[in-house]
Amino acid sequence: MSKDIILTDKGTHFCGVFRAMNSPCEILLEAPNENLASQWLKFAVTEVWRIEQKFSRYLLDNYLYQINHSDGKPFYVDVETAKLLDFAEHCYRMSEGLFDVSSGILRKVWCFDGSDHIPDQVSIAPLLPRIGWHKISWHNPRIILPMGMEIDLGGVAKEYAADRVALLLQSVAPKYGCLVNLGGDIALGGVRCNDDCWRIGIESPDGRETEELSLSAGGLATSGDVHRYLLKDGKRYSHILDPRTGWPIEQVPRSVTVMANSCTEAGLLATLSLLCGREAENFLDQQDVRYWCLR
Amino acid sequence: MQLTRKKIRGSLGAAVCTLLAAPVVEGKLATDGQWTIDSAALLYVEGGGRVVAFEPVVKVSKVYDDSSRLDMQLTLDSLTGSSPNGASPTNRVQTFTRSSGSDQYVAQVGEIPLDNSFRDQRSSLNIHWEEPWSRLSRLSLGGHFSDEFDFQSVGVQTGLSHDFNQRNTTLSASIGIEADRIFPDGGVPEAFSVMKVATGDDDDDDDDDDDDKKDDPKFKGDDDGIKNNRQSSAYKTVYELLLGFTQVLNRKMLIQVNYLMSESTGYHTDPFKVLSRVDATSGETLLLENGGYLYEKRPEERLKQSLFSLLKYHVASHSVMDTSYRYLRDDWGVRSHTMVMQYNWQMGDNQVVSPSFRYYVQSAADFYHHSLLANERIPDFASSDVRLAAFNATTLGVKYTLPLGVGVMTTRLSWYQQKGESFPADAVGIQKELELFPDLDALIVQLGYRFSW
Amino acid sequence: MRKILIISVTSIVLSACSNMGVKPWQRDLLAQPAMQLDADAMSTAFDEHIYFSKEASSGGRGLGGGGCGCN
Repeated sequence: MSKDIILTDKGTHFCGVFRAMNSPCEILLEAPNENLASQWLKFAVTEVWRIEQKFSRYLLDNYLYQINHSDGKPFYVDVETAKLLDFAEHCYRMSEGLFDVSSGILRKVWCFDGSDHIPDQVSIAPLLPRIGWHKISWHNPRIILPMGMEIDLGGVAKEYAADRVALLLQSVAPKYGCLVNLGGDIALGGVRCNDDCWRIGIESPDGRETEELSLSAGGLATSGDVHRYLLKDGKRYSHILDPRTGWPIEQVPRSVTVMANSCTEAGLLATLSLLCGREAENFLDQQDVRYWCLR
Repeated sequence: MQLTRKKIRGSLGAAVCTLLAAPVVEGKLATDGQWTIDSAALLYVEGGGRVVAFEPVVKVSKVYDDSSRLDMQLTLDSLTGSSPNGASPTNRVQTFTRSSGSDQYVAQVGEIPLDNSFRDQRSSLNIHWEEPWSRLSRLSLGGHFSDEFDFQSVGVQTGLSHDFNQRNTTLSASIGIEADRIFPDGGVPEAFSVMKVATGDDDDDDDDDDDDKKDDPKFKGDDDGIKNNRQSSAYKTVYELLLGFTQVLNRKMLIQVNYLMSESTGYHTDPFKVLSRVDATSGETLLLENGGYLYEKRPEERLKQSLFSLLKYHVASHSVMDTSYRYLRDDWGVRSHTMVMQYNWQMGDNQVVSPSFRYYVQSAADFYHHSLLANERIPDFASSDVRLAAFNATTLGVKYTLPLGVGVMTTRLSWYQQKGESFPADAVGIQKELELFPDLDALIVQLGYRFSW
Repeated sequence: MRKILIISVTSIVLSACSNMGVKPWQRDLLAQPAMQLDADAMSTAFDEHIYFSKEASSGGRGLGGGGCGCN
């Protein structure tokens, strides 16, 4: 992954472009001069990479790997991970088991590359006993993962990183506003000078419709299967898997974008709405948030 | 699908807050579970050797996990100096008797008489509790107890507020009850009784009378009271109702409108204040021994109503403009307008400079008289208390807030000025050459420090 | 009659106000300390006490509450 950060001066703000979490990312920030902008940007991007490094499920021997290979023995996590696990547990309960960070092992049989390779029940069934947050013993700060189980924080890490970086920028540069965009998951931090707003364009996947938003605070997150799906016999299988059955949820919207008070909240609502399948819109209506849903 | 029927945003939002709780975000002091200690002291100095007050205060607050809140405040108040006793200046030296009956004080020729026995120490305790009553409403309870040399007060209050329209609108109602006891040194003077010449020592009165009076409950109390034929204490009760309406107008502005009604019953008279009786032709005040000074009398009831409105406007990054206006009217004839403007100007590094301006104007109470004509019938009620006269007052102030160490320091400097009718149209004789209203000038200094623990 | 008027005025005002205001995610500025109704309660309390003892008016922002013999 490229470790370049490209900084440009856009007049009213600075823009830093970089790559993280397998997506194109950018941070827009206000700063009095290029020097400070560069300093702050580096600080922010370092933090994104740190979170990515710590919780990536693709790296061997990182922090997450150690937790997932603790062989059923108690593992004492740090404060940050404890907070994420508390949050994961909360979401598990709130979603009545649909949002489950222990369901990551299903990726061993499901590979959403647009092909028609659908696994059969025989390959899925053995994984089911190894899924279920209720099987994990989590008592802050101690986690005991039964052998064969894994936790995957991919469902919250990107949004969490966006919010966290926005907050950090707010604390080092309190008089300026920033916008952190990690592959479409956006967190706004601070307050812009002259109380300006950030203008964000939301585009439908086919590029035909766009809507412009003026935001000053909060977060935006998008979830969808536009690029990750399987197609067989005319039936589209989304990558949103039901952890209880191991099979994709039916009638999932192609794309959901949610706006909320933080990127994490928006991201979770988007994910939960996808887990509701055909009821996605009803769910979001109930939550009193602004959303864009494409089927 | 049960998930679609649940509203989870509230608990989700809270969970996210816990997740993202970062250590220090600028200027944030009290976080859940911490005690906040707010200590401050005020020094109030009036020009011309008048009142000097020193008031140290300590307030301790805590916000609980469910957003309940407890506030406890201890106030000490120390007053010295002199204060107008209600009498008018005249063209001779005036002698007055202190409330104890045995001492006296003097006002020079043409000077507004000031009673310099004005000395008091007050301590009071206030407790306030607030808690969420439901998701959108809050309940509050409070009480106070205050104690000084000649006055005690106890009160309770309770209130309920409810949010509407996605918390953009809040309606609230509160009621309060207060009971006061006034027990001045020397007892409560009878209304419109004449100020007597100072006795000096206690060999004047008939001792036989004292024995009878000792058994009369009205005269229980100090010996001076019995001697002067006075009640030792008087009481007053105050009932209040406050209705409030707050509305967020837009991202930067909110308004509040409050209606306050206050009904107070009992003893409202100031036991230390007198009215001068002046000759109808010359305007000279009669001598003390000729009934020159009468103790004042105010009605036993007072109904006040006021409408208060406030606008807060977020002007620019963290700078806020605060303007308010209050109109008050009561059944004593007082009408007042109060206008306050304060601009909180955020400078760098969380320092704030807040200049403020207050303009106040009030009309006189119906029974306010700067003095009484000797040949006129004494009215039902009369008072020369400056605070019931017509006047306007201006306050100019500036406050400076600065984060210091683990907390925040605040300093404030204000100048308060009162100007009234020095030469009223109904002045008689020599009164026309004297300034009858004791204009006031006061300097106020406040220093405070707030921190969490 | 007056009660009906008050209730109907209140409900008219409430429904009129239902269109005013901000969405929950737009409360960033309103959340700042200086925008709170009880911002600097200590200074307000000091002021109210001074004005209570020097003028005929009191209260408005909150309950009048004398609690002191200075008037």
